[in-house]
Amino acid sequence: MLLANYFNETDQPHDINEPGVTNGIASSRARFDEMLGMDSSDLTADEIKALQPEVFTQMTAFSDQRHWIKVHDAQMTLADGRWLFPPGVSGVVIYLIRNPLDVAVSLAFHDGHQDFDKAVTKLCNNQTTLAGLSSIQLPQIMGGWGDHVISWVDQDKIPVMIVRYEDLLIDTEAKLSEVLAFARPDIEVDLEQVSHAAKETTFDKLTAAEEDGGFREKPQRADRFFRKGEAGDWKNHLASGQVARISDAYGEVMNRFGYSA
Amino acid sequence: MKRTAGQSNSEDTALWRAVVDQSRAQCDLCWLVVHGQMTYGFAAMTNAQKVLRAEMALRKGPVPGTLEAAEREAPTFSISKSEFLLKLPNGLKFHYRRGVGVTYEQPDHVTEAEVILFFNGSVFGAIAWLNEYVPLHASAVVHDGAVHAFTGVSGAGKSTLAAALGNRGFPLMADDVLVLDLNDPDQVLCLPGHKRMKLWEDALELTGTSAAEKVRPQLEKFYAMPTGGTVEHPLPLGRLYFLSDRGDEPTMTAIRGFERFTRTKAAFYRPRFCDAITEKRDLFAIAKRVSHAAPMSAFDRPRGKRMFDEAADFAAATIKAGSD
Repeated sequence: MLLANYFNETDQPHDINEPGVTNGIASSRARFDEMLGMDSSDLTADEIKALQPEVFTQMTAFSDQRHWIKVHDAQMTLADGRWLFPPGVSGVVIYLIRNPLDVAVSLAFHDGHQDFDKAVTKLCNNQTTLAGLSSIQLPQIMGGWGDHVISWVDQDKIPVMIVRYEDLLIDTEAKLSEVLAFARPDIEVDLEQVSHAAKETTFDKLTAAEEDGGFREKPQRADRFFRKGEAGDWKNHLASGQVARISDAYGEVMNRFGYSA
Repeated sequence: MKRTAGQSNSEDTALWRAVVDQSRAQCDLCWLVVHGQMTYGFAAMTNAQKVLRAEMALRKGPVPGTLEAAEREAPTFSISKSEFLLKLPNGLKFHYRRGVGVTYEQPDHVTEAEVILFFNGSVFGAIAWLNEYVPLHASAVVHDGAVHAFTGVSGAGKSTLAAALGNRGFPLMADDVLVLDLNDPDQVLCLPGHKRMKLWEDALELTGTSAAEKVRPQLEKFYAMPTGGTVEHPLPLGRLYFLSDRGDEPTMTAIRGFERFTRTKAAFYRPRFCDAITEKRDLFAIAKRVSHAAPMSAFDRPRGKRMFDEAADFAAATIKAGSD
């Protein structure tokens, strides 16, 4: 939403239900089918995974246009050694990281069950996969929270900038400027537009926009997509045992990025 | 056996029979493909149906590695103005040439069911585009002599909704791909298409539909026969519906103005095929023609069990009401 508002050429806030500057999500089934000319819903999970790098290659094959793509998947090498996200056609990665204790709370509400034990289990499961073969999105292998972080930040094939969600909340303008400078060194960052984007993308405004017209990415099972957006809300929800399960599994990665229980 | 413009129906009949006979002699499978979906008398078929049937003649045979004069190439397909090549990840390959039909190479581990599955998808779509018909990514039912087509990307719930509408008495026109014939200047005709719906286990459960065989041995996805019967003759397009699943309750909103044009283009099946072989101005004309052919509605409904029947009832009532 920040990028959508930054690149928005009008003075109006970006409509949260309209496509912004990002070219959809990497797991788009429609794009897979279009780029490769076949029905992904007739393929096995392994066949889909093996063909996905070709989708990204096709996206960049016929023009030098840059694409911002939202990604859920962990980066990984496939059975034949190719990367899921091919370094040759990937520009940079902006890795948005958040305290896994808050992620667990957010996940419990997002999945509509508010069962924090269940959310912690999902976050600590190194086999966690989003969507399935019959879903509108392709299956996305996430792994556990720490596995996912490591898959992206410790690979050295694609340049990575790590953005802590908590830092984004504290100084949105500064972080957005850094992201733009990292991703688009070829253009000068427009600070006035950065300020406009930060102003139009506050959590309160996103919440109000969702209340007003709904949000297309809200799962049916959830009450709302933009719920609270605060840092540290886990203290209001997680039991000590749940906190310990995440810390035990990923304490080292948490410490590395300044998170502690 | 190349089809020429102005060919008469009797010539088409002879052509079609020759192709089918030739195909039968070479491959029993193609006879299943050609004949298995057709219960409608040949004499009553329109020219478009005969052309498509002839062009879909399928036999085992050599498949080239590449196409000369390809207009677009991807690792999985190539298309030129008269040919199409499809390479599946399981090693199955198809080659279509206009006026000749389709050959395929089938690795030992690939089943005949898989040949039919992929033939009826992208190959069928490419054949339609290359013969100047317009395939939409849509499942369609019939009411009161007109076709109501529900379009959306894979996974949007087209087949599931078609199955639910079958349970409510609407006969099926086509599942997944609906081919339009624009040759009549006075109307856009929908051609009868695939009649075996492809449903995942959860969709079978939702719709209470009985599963037939698996579409592929590796997938928990099954063919299912429509419970509301089928239609085997072309009919005009009555309404085009665009599926989404944003809201908490089913809604139907009329689509007007320029959005009709952009929505139409989004409904094309395999748009990269037609982009590659069609001049931009012709593409514009096709989209314009289809966008003017029938009213359009955005059909938004929640997915999942809780509201499924309500949403299907809502769609059925809208079709019967015949207005916005």
